[in-house]
Amino acid sequence: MTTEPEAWVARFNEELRTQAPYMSSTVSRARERFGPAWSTAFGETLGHVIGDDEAFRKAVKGYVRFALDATKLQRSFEKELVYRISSYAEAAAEVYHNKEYMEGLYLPGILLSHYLWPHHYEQLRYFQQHFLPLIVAADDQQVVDVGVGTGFYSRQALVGAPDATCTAYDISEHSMGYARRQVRAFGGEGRWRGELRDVVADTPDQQWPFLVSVEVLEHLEDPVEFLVALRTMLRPAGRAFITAAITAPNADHIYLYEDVAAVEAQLVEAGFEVLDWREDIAYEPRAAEPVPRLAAFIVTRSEA
Amino acid sequence: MSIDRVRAVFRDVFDNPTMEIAPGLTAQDVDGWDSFNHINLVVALEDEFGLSFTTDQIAGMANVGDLVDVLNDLGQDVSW
Repeated sequence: MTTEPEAWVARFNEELRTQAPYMSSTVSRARERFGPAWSTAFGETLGHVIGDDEAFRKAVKGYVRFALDATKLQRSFEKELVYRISSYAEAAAEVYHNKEYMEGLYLPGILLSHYLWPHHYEQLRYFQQHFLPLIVAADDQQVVDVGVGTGFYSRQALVGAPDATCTAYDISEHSMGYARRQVRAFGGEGRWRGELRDVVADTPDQQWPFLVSVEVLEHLEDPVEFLVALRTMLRPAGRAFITAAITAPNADHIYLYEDVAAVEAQLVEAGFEVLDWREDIAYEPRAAEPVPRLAAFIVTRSEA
Repeated sequence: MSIDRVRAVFRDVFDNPTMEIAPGLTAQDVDGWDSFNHINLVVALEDEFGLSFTTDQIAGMANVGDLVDVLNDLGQDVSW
C-alpha cells in the first residue's frame, strides 16, 4: 500500500523526470541509499510545505535551476579554484534581496537539497542523532537559529523536540517569510519567533542554551566576526550546531574553506571548543578535482 | 548551419563516435546523460558556439530539440 508521503515522492519523481530527464535517477539513488525513512521524511516535506499543483511545479523548477546552477559553478571552480563573488554586498543584491531569485530558485532549491543531496541529508541525520537529543534531554529547551534560511532546521528542532522554543534570525525578508510558512506547516508557529536582524551589527543581549547556524559561514566575508557574535549568544556550557560548506561554489558563497581544519580553526579562534564533528562529501571525485563537502560541528564555549 | 556541429559535440561528450541525435532524444535515451554530463554538454556547446547559456535556458533543455531551439533563439540558425 502506498502511503501519502510515498505518493508525494512518486509525484515529485514524475515531475522531475519530465522537467529534467537527466535528473531522473536522483530520487531512486537517494531512496536506495537512505531507505524508507528518507521517503517518509521527504514526502512529508513535499506534502506539508509545497502543496498545490502550481507550487509543486514551481518548486521542482526551482530545484532544477538551483542544482544546475551549482553544477555549472562547480565545473568552473574545478578549473579556477576560486569562488565567483567575493563581497557580501554582491551576494545580498544578487540573492538575499532578490525576490524572484530567492522564491523561484534559491529557497525551494535549498529546501529540496536537504533530501536530494546526500551530503545534506547526512548532515540532517547527524543533527537528528547527535544534537537533537541534547535539546530533548535539557530542562531549558530554548533554541536560537541564526541564518534561518528556509526554516528547515528551525522546523527540525521544533518537531524533534516538542517542548522546545525557537528564535530565528536572518537578514533576508524572503527567507523569513519562507521559514515562517515552513514552521507553520508543521504546527510550530506557537513556539517560533522570527526577526530580521544582522546579529553581527546588532548582537542580541539574550543568551540561549542551544544555538543552530547551518551553512552561513561560507556566505560571509568575515566568518570569525560572525562566530564571535554566536559565541556571545550562546550561554556558558551551552551547545551549538554550526556547519559550513567546503569547496562548494554557489551564487552567494564568498568565503572559500579548503578543508575541515580551516573551519575548525575559525571556531577555535572565535572561542569555541569542538566537542564532535563530521564531514560529508557530495559525491566521489572522478579524478582529483575538488568536490563539495559539508562540515558539521557540535561546539561549546571555550572558557580557557 | 547544420546539425552536424551539435552532433559532433554530443559524440564527444558521450564518447560515442556513432551517436545519432534527434529532436525527441532525451537523457533517458542516452547512457550516462546525468546532470553532470548535462553540464558537460552545455559547457561544450558554449565553447563550440561561443555562447553563454542562462540557468533558465539550461533548465529548459529537456530534449535535443529544446537545446537546438535555444541555440536558434541565440541566433545560431541550426537546421536539422
